[in-house]
Amino acid sequence: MTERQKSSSSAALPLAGRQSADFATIAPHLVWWGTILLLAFIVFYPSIVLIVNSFKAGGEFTLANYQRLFQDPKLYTSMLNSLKVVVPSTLIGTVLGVVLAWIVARTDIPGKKIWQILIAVPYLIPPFIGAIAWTYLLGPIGWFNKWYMQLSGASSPLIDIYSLGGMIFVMSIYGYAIPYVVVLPAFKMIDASVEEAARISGASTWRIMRDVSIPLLMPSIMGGMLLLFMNLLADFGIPAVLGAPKQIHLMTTEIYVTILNADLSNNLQIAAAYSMLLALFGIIGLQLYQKIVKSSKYVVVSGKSTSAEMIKLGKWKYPISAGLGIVVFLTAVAPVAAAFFTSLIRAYGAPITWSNLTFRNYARLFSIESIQRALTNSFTLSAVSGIMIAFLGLMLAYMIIRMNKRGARLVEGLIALPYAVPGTIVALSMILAFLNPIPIIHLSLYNTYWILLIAYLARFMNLGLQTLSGAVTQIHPSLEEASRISGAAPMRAFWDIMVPLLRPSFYAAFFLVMIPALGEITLSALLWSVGNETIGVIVFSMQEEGKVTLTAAMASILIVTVFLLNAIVKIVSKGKMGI
Amino acid sequence: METLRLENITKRYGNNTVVSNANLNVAKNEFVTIVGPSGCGKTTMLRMIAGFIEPTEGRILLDDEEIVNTAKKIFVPPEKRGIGMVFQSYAVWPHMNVFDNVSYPLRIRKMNKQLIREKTMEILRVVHLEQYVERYPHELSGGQQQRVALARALVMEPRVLLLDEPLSNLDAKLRETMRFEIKQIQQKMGVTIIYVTHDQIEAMTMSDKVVVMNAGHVMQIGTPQEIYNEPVNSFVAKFIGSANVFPCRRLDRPAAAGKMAVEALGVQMEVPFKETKQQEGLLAVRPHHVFPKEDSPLKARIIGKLYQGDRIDYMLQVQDQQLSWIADASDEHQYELNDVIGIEFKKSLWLDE
Repeated sequence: MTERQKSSSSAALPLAGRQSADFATIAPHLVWWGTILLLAFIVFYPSIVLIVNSFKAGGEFTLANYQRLFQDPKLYTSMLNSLKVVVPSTLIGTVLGVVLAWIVARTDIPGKKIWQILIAVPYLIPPFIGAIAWTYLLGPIGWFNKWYMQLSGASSPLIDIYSLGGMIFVMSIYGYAIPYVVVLPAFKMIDASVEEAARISGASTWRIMRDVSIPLLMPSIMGGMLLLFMNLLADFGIPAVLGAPKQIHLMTTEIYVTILNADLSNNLQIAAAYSMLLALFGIIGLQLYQKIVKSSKYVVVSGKSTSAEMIKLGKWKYPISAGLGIVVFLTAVAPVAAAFFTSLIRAYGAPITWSNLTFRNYARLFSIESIQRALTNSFTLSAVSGIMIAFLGLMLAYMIIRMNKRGARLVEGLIALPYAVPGTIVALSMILAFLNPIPIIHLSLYNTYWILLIAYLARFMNLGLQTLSGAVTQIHPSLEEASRISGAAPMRAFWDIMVPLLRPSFYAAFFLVMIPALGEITLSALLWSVGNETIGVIVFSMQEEGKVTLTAAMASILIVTVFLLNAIVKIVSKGKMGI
Repeated sequence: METLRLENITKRYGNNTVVSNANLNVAKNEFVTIVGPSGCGKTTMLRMIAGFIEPTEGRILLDDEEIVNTAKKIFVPPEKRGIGMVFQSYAVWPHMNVFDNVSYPLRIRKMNKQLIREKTMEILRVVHLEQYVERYPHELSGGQQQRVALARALVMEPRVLLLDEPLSNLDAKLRETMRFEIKQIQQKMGVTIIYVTHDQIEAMTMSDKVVVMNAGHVMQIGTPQEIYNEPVNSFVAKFIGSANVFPCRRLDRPAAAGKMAVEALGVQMEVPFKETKQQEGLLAVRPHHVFPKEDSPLKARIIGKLYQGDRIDYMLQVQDQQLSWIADASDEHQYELNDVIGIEFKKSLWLDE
């Protein structure tokens, strides 16, 4: 290389001022402000309408709706029921989750890899499907009760799952997944030296747990507990399946019933006021959670620390493995098996023999028009919202993290709101906002496919943003800068460097949205209309109509699909995401 | 014509001035190092030259063409400056192999494939990576990744090559090797280099010119010899090499040729002449310019002694000051703690501040 020639494009330095506006520079701004507009339309506007409506009765502004909350015995009872069910479930679920996390993270239990997957399974199963599956076991003529009655000769079932107790049971069984997922990483990362210091001071394993480990992990445990509490309080599926048939209502189902009660004047506004109360619980919970998570007093967990010693179980291995087995059986194996078998049985209540098993229920399923529609609708809704959310998530995550955009926090807040607030409230806000056609453009969204899509977008957008934000922060800015200094304009650098590196997370976001969207019931129950049914709606209504075997077949299909999608997430994200 | 010229460059973030009124000229093929403690503004300077940070005030000219002029609102983006850069983290792209990484700047410039292949292989030979063309970054060691980054920056024949603390992630042995190689490459290929580091040894051993920065200000610009022998203030004196710095007062009496009379440490002495308007100032003496002298009026007590094998580090108490003295360990005299000895300064320097 003796002659140094200047390569053509680096020699030409424009002496003109800043690059004149061209597509490449305007495009990011368009996307950003376009998104803000979209969020204003699907989140901000419905929220305002909801709040305003809670103060409206008979066309005037009043506090009457709120007064009703505390005077109407039904509303009051449902509030108490919610607390009676959610509080114990939260406590049980947290204890269970923490114990399981401890076993997995800190002991030398054999078969850890398999246990970890099995323990996390409840995360995938939509709660109301789990509740339905359990009715096959613990309903009045469920398998368990039938065996009990056969064995003992009793004439009434031992356990009736259609009760407050039943709800507590199912919520605890499925609830543990949340504290487990929150606490497990904290357990794994605790700095060995704090425990070693206790040991060298003379403390036994039990003392170390009590005096050092658990106190240090309190913030994570508290955080997990709060998240679980908010999640259970907001749940619609479990009370809808287990409580509503016996008129036992929690806050969410009470709101639902109020919305559907066309005879009650002002019903939507009353429901709105009730929603505000429920939302208040959620927001307080969220604030508490942020405070706990951010308090740095207990941060002794760092990425670099050596992991603490594994506790040797010795002969305790067997009872503990058995305990794990029982948990997994209860949460994953029993209900899924119950659903499968019930779907294959000729008629509900018949004993399981080869001659009674048939695929007829599945065949019938696919022949019913409304079910075909529901399957199509759910798959398209999930896929479309998945793609849109993955794209928007990618662009927004990039813009928020790299481009220091104005209004970033507002955007993050608007995206988080419909995810943090109970789904019933989101659905109500959509109803109130879009009941009447949108002025000027005369577009009516109510009772259409589109209102469902909008609700799904608002609800699951946060998943996409979180997934892709996590991925973007892992990519060091210098990778793009190196591309820029090598001669690439900003868009080229984005395409050459960010896109290939973000592709796995992009696909993962798509599937991570599809999974909850397919089994979605809370929004669909309120926003569906004839021709726009979803899988959740179909399952729910068939359950109400007592079409047990068909419901079981549908539930089984949903469970299998969700497992498949989860497997795809794992493959696509190279094992980093998914159960 | 200089290759690079910075004029009155200032960078402010709100009330915080990160770089203050920096001026710098870099000639063709010069190796210039910007050195200073953490937070001094050196990386900000480098990134302003690269175009990742926009100066608040000032001008930057590259080959006499303005690439930044805050008054006229001229700002050329990084991709159009023809500057190469090696990042501290190397920033080698994990989804491309060595060849694709290094040839990237040429592919952007849409050169023909044959030419791209030739130039890429040639630069890979220069950095001794030609057998690794197919490999991916995760299959390379840290040192090899760094060479990939270097090759990628050089392949486009940049007007200026920027290096942002490139050796800080390498172990000591590798650092020495790479220091030598970078210098070799620079001389062989004839590249203008701007090198940022906090390591003053790198600054001194590799550069034609050193820019010492502190708290956003350029303290001094000079050759390594000038910086070492004639620091303009106590910061530079203490940052490059080590120095004892203590208060000193100029006396009005005449002195020998080329010298001036001062009083310091309770004693009068004659030091090399320095033009100054101040009466009070500082005297800087490097630890190895301290020597024992039996009948010296300046007495010191030994309060610390560290045997280092080839030398002995003494800590001396003189009046209210503590001075560092580095003595050759082969001297016949070995002093002990609490010995009181006479000392003299073979070399010293008056500093205004």
